[in-house]
Amino acid sequence: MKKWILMLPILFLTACSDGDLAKVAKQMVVVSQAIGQVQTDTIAANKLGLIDENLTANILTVCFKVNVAGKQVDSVIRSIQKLDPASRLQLVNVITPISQALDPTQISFIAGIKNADTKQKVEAGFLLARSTISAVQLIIASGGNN
Amino acid sequence: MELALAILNLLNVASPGIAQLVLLVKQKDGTIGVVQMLDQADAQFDANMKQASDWLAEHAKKA
Repeated sequence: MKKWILMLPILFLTACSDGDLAKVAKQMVVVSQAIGQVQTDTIAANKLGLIDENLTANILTVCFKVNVAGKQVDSVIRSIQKLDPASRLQLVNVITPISQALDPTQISFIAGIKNADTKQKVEAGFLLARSTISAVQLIIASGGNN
Repeated sequence: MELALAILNLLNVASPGIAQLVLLVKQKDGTIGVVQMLDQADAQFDANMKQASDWLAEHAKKA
């Protein structure tokens, strides 16, 4: 009997279906770091004259959109307890602007970066952010069953 | 074990407040890191926005 009483709090702690929110939150950390790296690499390259002002501004503008939408995603996650249909819809609405901002057609201007190293870093950062957001969309679409 | 889980599932279904309470306990307990991860992501997003704004402001001055 004592064992059961001791186990109950642990069972309570594991019964809640918020593991999917943890997965999404973890992915948002990855996105924020990937975008931060893109910005840092871009600004450093600009200082060195490896990338021009317009391209730098364009990249930072895309990053800014992702940062703003990312904070909205975080805010929605804080307000929900689990991934039910209503909260999934809320999340889809705030995640869509991120995937749109990172869509290859929207960031095609990075092809204009002449310095190969900078171009590779920016592409890799955006790719990481985009694939991470795709993973988030899969978690949400699956209703947390993946 | 099955009985305990069944009771917990019933409680979760019966009262949405229970799920909220469990989440609060877990957050306090540190068992999960959802809030901590969101804090980390938010802090990084904030830092990113400041970095981008600073650069844009600086370069707008030059232009």
